[in-house]
Amino acid sequence: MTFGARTLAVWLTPAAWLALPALVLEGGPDGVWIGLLLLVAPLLALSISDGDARAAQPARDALFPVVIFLLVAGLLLWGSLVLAGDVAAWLGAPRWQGIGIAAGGAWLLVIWRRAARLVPWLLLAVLLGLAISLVVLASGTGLGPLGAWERVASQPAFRFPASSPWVSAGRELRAGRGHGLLVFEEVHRITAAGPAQIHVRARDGARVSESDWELQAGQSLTLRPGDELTWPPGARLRFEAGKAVPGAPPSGISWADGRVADSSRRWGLLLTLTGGALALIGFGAAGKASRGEMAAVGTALFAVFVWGIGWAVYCALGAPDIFLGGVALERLVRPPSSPAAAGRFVLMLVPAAGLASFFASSVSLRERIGGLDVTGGGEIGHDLGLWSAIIGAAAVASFWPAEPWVLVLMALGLAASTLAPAVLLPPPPARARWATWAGLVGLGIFGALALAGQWTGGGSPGWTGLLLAYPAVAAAPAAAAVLWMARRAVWR
Amino acid sequence: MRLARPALLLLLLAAYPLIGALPSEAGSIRVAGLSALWWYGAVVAPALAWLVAVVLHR
Repeated sequence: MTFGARTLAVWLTPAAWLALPALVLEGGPDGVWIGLLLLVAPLLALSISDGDARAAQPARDALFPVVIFLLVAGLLLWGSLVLAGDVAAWLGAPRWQGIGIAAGGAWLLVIWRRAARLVPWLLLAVLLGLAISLVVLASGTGLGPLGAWERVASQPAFRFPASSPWVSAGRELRAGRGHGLLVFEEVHRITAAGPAQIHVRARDGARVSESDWELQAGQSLTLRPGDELTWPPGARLRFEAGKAVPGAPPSGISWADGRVADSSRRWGLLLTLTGGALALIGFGAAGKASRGEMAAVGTALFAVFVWGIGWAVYCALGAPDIFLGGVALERLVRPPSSPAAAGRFVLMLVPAAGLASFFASSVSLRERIGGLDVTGGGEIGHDLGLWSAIIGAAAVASFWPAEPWVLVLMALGLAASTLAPAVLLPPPPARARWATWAGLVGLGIFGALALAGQWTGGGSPGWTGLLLAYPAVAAAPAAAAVLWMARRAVWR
Repeated sequence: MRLARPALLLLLLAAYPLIGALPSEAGSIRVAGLSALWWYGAVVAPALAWLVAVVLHR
């Protein structure tokens, strides 16, 4: 497997690249920022680590980086398997089938020792699948990228198209997930497509009233601006065509301008993603990318970035119901109001690309960890018992609802807190063990802040909540400080 | 030279939030249909990042 292909496959897990259009839809310029980080962070990591003889190399008895890499791989696999389950449910199959196909395929690739040869071809298939699907979606609108963006950015509101499945037949909000919450911006009549028990929280000035409704198929309820509807799992509801989509930005202009920027979160993401890339790509890296490989990696990252931005813009234009109740990653694989004329084959390209990308990532993560095996041969990357346990645990965990992008951020934050400092400040050979001590300090701080963040629901917005939202912001500098002290002690 | 590539890439990244924070919402000014912030984040910065990573590669 080439160094470039492995780098791409490790970095671009399906939960990462599919999050890009979702985040652009959700946050406009904030999503573009994350896309830019996904593009530049691996290039930055390759620039810092390649050809540098001092880049961190695991000591002969270093178990710590291998354990961290296994945890990171487990989190990344978990995120992708959650996504596989969600995609299956969105396409109308049970969640377990999506999880089973993805996890089963990854496990079969553990058995096949030459699976690494497949990675460049899988990545090529992913890029082709994404490119064709974007061209088909764009040609359906008859607008170029700039024209499409301009049209979206000048929409007075995002409204339900008549072709929406939430208008014609009615469907669930998110299959296999808990309750959903919709806030209505204008008067809207909803109709039950089957038996549904819904809860409505209505506001009338300062007065708030709560009511429960038991609707039978065909029965309707009219909601007013400001009303909140709690959508129970399994209930199928229909909406009115031409009415504003609850959960969508108020207008195209507000989407294009973005929310009031929370600059602290932007810097938190910068440190988490660049640190995560530095650790995943740079730590103990044996090879150096040639100029050709760098060009190939850069071009592939650029292509995925363009796909993500383009996919978001064309989805907002052709399928504005994608915003309903907040943008969910699985809807991006087949936009709800996608034109039927596109054909069944084309509609399956993005889900197929996601599966191919997951297989490439699972093989590359194993090879990456095998590269840290100082006994040679990379046996740890092919250990059937170990990887069966990791894939099995990730598959079981993915039955619980979790957000794939949050799991990706957690994996990158963990890597940034424990391994990235040693790439930037490699300890002197006489004190190689300090890399482990620094990593343990980073791990402790990251774990404590991540738990506190979960406990408090992510902390408050702004700089005060930054450490709970992005624990690597505190953990990585603390680990780096330990290494700096080690280096200073040796120089004295 | 070894630090030039990482420094330039970091500079490209750091410019995005700075453009977003410009006074009078200068980042929202439309240029040829696209806002200045989107031009930078979706077109200029990715293209420059590719150039910096590949052309300055040794």
